[in-house]
Amino acid sequence: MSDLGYQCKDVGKPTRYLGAEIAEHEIRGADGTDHKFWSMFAEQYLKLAIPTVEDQQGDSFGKCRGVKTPVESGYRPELDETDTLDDYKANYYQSLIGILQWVVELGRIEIAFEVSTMAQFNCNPRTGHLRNTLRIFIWLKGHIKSKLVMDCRKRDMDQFDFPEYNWTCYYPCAAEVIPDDMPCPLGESVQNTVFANASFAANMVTRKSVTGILTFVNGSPIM
Amino acid sequence: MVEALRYKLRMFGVPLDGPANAFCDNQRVVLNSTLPSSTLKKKQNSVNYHKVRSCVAAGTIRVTKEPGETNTSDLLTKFLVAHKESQLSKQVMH
Repeated sequence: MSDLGYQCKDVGKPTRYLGAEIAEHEIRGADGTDHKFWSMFAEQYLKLAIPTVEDQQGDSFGKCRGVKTPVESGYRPELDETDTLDDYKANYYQSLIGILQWVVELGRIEIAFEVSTMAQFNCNPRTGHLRNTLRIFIWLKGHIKSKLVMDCRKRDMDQFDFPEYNWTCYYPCAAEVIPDDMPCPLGESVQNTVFANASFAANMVTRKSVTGILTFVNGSPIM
Repeated sequence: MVEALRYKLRMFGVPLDGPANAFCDNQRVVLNSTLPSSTLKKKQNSVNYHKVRSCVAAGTIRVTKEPGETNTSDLLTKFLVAHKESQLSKQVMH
């Protein structure tokens, strides 16, 4: 390239990816060495979003600090019987949920369940729902810097007991589907880990269950 | 979902390190998917009973129990109390 008289410019490390802020995050490993991993966070977006909510809510909201959980623990939104919000406030509630859904999208997955639960009441929100949604914002104000780190270290699976049995008499033909046109695998191998949990008939009104699945590739949460 | 992810990684040319490790907090589910001779009981109705078991037989996943106290996915199914919330979110967030 330089022979042709072109100069490559170095634009430095990226700071944004698909709307989310990204930066390198340092973690000290068990052996005392520092590892650098990419992390996703929504600090800048929250710094813009929270003041707009504060302006709307006035001083009482601005002074609230130090909630320990995003939503009151043990709160049952489906059993909430407080007054329903008028059209104007319902619209405001929906816009708050919209903001929170984008925050989850930007990497704040620890409030994913709270936000999706509160979003179920979008069409007929009540005062209690609005109060708890605002509480999520107060909680986010206290945890504004929290990051989703793409940790590429493998986890030690030897400490867990995975029972092994012979399955051939039950499922003689069981085999994993391997793509026929698969390229030759190169580089370091990766480890898949899945955490699954279900809350059976969790909704007290409809008796619907909730399933939570978190998928990791090495130490990075990806789904 | 895990099958699709593994298929995709393979198509990218990424080598996989053994079966996917699955952590559940329900003892019955773990038994159904680890012990070949276990059968469904009246209390459990698993839609994917055979699907999961044949994946285990094929070596796609291996299942073990991780109690609710430390299982990260608890974050995604209930409103937690304060200490548990912070303890679990520390496993994914920094």
